[in-house]
Amino acid sequence: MPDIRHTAEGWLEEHGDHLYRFAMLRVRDPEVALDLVQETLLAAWQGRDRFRGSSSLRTWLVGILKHKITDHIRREIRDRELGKAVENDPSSMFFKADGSWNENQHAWKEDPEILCRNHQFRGVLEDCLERLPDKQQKVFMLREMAGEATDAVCKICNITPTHAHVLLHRARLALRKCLEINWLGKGNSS
Amino acid sequence: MKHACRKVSRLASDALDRKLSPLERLRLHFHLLLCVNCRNFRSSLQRLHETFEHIRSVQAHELKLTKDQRRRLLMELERKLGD
Repeated sequence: MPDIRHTAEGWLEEHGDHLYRFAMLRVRDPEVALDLVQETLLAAWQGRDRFRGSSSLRTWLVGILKHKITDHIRREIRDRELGKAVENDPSSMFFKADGSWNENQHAWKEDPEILCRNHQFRGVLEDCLERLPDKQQKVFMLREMAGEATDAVCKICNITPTHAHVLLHRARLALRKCLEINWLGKGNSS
Repeated sequence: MKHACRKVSRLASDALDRKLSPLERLRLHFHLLLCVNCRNFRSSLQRLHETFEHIRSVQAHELKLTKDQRRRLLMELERKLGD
């Protein structure tokens, strides 16, 4: 029987950062991400006989983690929807009754490559993401932060593509507005 | 064309997540020719999308377990696996 301490330590050393990053990009919360990594390593240890070495150890571990993340997200969506009505349609905030924009839209001039390294911007972005309604936030994180394809997002969240597109559209409208107000300072222009 | 902005904003968002049909593409681009607000909206969405792509690659270096998190993980694993 292999030494538990030695093996777990080795896995953590070798793959811990990768697993943690993979989880963080999808669930945002460091505590949750840490729990998911822990559950993954536990499950991997308990099922180590099933690892055949046909894939790399990392691929195998990430496969386990993916299942844990999917379970977590579905549980969250299910639990939070119990007590809550369907998320309301926020488009009346952005559009008049006739479907035209409420306010003039400005083009962003910021360079994405510079923005992504700006800590102040990243802070504002995190705040704006945090303010998104639960389901929008989850779908948006998976799609834009983790870079999952839309069909993968649908599978993880157990929703239809149309529903995903509606949620992503709402999230983008809200996020863009939030960033304009808090980062670009154009909130009241019209 | 103004009435279409709400729908066009949805198409502009969808275009980042799926392939639009030829008809949808035509509607989108025809509207964009005439509407500066939607043009600006779309270019902002694309910049936001690109920004996330960059953030993803930056985080490959930034996001790591701290020493403390690592220690806690190891302790938990030992506690749960040890006996």
